[in-house]
Amino acid sequence: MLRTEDLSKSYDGHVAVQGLNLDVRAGEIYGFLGPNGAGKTTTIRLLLGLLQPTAGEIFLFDQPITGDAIGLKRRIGVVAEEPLVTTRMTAWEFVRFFAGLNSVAQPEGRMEVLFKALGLWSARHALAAAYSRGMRQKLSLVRALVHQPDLLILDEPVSGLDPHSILQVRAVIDQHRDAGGAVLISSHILSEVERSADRIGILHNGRLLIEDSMGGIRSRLGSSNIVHLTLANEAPTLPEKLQSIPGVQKVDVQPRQLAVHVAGTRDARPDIFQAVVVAGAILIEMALEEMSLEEAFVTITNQNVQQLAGAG
Amino acid sequence: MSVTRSSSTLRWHNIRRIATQQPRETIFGWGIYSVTAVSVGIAALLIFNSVRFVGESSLNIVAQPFLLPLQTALTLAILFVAVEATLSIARPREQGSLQILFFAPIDETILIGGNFLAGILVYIFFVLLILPTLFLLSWATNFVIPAQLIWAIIPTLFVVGVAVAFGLFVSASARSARSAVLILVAVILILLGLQSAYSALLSIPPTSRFYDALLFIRTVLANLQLILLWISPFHMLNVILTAALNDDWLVLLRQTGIAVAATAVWLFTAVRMLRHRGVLP
Repeated sequence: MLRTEDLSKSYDGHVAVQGLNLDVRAGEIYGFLGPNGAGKTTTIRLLLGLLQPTAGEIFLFDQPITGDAIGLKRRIGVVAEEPLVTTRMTAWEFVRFFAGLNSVAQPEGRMEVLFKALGLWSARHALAAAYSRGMRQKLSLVRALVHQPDLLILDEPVSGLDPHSILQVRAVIDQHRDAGGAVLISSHILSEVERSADRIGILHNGRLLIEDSMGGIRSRLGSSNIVHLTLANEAPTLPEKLQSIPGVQKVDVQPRQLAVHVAGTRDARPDIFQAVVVAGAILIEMALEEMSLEEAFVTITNQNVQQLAGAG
Repeated sequence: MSVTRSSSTLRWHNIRRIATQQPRETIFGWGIYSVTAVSVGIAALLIFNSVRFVGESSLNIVAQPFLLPLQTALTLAILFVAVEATLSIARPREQGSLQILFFAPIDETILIGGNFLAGILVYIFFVLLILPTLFLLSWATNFVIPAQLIWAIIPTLFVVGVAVAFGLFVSASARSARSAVLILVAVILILLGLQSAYSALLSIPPTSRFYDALLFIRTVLANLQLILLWISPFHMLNVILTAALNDDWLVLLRQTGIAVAATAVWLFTAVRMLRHRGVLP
């Protein structure tokens, strides 16, 4: 749905985006991550044609955006970090205005569904300018979805939202994905991206360092999983048996509690369970602790910083 | 749900959407009503002066009593729509909300086109507000408003076009809303200043010892003024209203043609400038 080829942007001698090759596919949520100043917002502005690239090409729905940009925009919905709505329109009028710009005939039904799904129905006739920050954020999502776009581009969609609103937004985004649409989410809230994204791209200093599923990223980073065991009784032979399982790096032993470090992303839990049974232990709880996106993010961006420092 | 439209149909559709949305913001504001109130006040004052003049001079005639009130009202309206146009892009761009509009199927041509039509619609709204007052004054004073003067309002739409297009050009070029307004005010002051300077120089008697020294400056100012008169909407308004009253259709047509050409030039440069400056703060 969205593809960039060696996309670059530099201004005033500063390289904001460098040789970016993105690929967002239909029916997936793509998490677009990066620290502050990594080039995420510049990339989104390039994708929307608000900035012109220095080099490279952008393809939306397999068409270069230099062509029929007006026609292509009708197939995109965008939520940006938006300022105060200064219009005198009510929220309902605001969305209907944008529905009109997207040539949506009789948008009221769709609007009702979206306003209700995001908890704005009772406030639909209030002035959009009087909305709180969280309500404006949700109103932006209604605006972005009213014309049923194929591609949804979201810049910090859940920042400033309360937990209840985050659930509402998440449900609407998942619904869009399940209906075959593509979603590009740029966010600082890594737990949110980890929860919903099918694939993740990490941008740092304008370059895409990695692009994969969460499992793929863990695997590529060679990270280890930790399986925590809580036992009802002592089992002296268990650590030895666990150590003999392929992939197990080490076992931390405490009375009735063990932590098994397993290399890579292989799920060793069946082997561990079998070892527990053979050792005559009674298992109360077994929990898998994987490398979080936050840890992966820090590892990858730190590696990049070290590489850059080395190159310098 | 989405209606399939060709790109050019969608452009025209969205120009009309913006053109009808923008005047709503003006109509629900207080600015246009303030300008209308000031216009009505000035018009009433000028008509009252004409009545007093007739009374004091014991004359039964007065030349075109409604020309100056109408011209003043329309001049204020042109100034108002020019200021609105000057803020229409610079202000939302400064606030960061212009980019949201560009998330929709909008480009520079659509935005400029929509705002241009919006300015014209606001002017028409103003005329609709002011006309009943003029008819009321005509009825109260027994001064007749010539039909030509009413018809002459139609070609003044082209004059407003020049002012709106110029305002949009300034708005697209300026770094902020404040600098956009300052540029507009500076241009108006230069226009007025040139005229005042020229009039002042004309009043210097040939016997003055500075006469010869200032003759060159006077000639330069005269030529400058001649050029500015070609592009000044206020001069165009004066020419059109006078030509309409004199049934001078040739002058009226020529002036309308000049206004259309000037509008096209300003609109074209406004689109180019917006493309160059972008929609981001």
